[in-house]
Amino acid sequence: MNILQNATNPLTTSEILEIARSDEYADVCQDCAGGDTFIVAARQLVDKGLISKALEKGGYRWELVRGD
Amino acid sequence: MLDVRADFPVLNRKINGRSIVYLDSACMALKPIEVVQAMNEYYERYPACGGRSIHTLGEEASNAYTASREKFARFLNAAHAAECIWTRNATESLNMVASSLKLPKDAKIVTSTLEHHSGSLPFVERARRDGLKIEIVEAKMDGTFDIEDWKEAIDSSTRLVSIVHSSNVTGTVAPLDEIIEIAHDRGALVTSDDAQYAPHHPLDVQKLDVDFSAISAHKMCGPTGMGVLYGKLEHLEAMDMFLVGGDTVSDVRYMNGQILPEYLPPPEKFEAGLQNYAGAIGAGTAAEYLTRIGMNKIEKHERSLLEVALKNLKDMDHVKIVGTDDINIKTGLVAFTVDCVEAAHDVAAFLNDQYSVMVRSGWHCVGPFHYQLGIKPTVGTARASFYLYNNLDDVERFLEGMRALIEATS
Repeated sequence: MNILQNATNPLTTSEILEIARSDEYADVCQDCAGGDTFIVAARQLVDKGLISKALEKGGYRWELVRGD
Repeated sequence: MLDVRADFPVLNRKINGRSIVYLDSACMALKPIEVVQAMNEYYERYPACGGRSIHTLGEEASNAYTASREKFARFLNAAHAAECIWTRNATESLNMVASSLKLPKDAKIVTSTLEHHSGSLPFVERARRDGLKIEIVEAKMDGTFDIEDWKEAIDSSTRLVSIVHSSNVTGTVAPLDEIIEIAHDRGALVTSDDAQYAPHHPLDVQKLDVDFSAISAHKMCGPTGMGVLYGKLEHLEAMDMFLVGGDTVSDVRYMNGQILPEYLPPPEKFEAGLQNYAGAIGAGTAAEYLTRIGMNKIEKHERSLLEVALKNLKDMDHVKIVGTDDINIKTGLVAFTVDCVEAAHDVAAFLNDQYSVMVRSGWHCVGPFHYQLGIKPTVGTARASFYLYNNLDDVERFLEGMRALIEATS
């Protein structure tokens, strides 16, 4: 959610995973190498209505659901 | 084609109104009802300590535990049941060999880029810990090996080779008999990671003449948290123990201010503490179940499904198969990339969400080979793996999902 909060546009899955592996997020992303755990967590956030994903050319785009 | 689907209760489940298509058996196999029942029987009828308590329940637990080891030994055609050590999984089995095998200071270990991290890291760490040499043989880009590379890497200083028998990424079956012959000629032992091979092909450890074989029960219809280390008895007898404690000793004397243990022979000396009796009983039942169906039949069944999947995937624009497409040297799995989809996780998510088709995505715990292929971990590969309970309808739904994904994303 931190990653999407700081993004100005929707991000692709691999963009999120690349950002997650950066030093900036090292403290919140200890198990991101393969991305499996990260994706499962992201899917749960979609279920909770906190983030959204949409299938477009190239794959899914993830975006924070921002309140009014 | 095999028809065993009725044996697997989870296949009755529907998600989003659809039956499930489970193509992730290379990670975790589904469980036949008789495995579940065998484990329940332990908990319901004789949930006692094996090998310790002399009462009726203890005796029944001991008998079932011993019988399971014998079933597993028959599955591998091990010469002695004592050559099968119960572990938590293939990872623990490989760590036992890497940590406990006595190696001289100038010894070299040889392994490959195709190994699962469980087949490389224990040996990398052993080499680091003891200052041993370690040489890495590079798999070819299609996941096969050039036998000349092994001849070059295994020299007279090599004492141990760790090789994955069947890759969990490419599915390629290594030329293990040739590698074992080379290694033995040069005085080295061979540890085979059979986590993917044993569930899908007939494995005869005596015929293969392999020194150690690491197996996970959960990939062969058995319970989670159970595995086996097969080792030739002479090697197990000479090996140190990874864990020691209760049930590993024939005597522990106290003399002259010292505690003096006398360890039991294998397998007991390796199985310290209270064991996972239910797990072992389930693993033995799974081995018996697969043996009854016939490993040759299972191999043939999977390859027939793989052939259909491979042929259709190869015909799809945007899909690239990772590894050889020669089904004669392949376990029943196919990994692939889709160039119109940025990340393999998107492939798996789409198939799951829209088609209830469950495949694996990511780097499959084989980082080095993905880096060798130039595939970043954040991109990864998707993998569909087939087992005895899959059928052509499963393959068709998977392919239908793939076509829809490509249409939506390209």
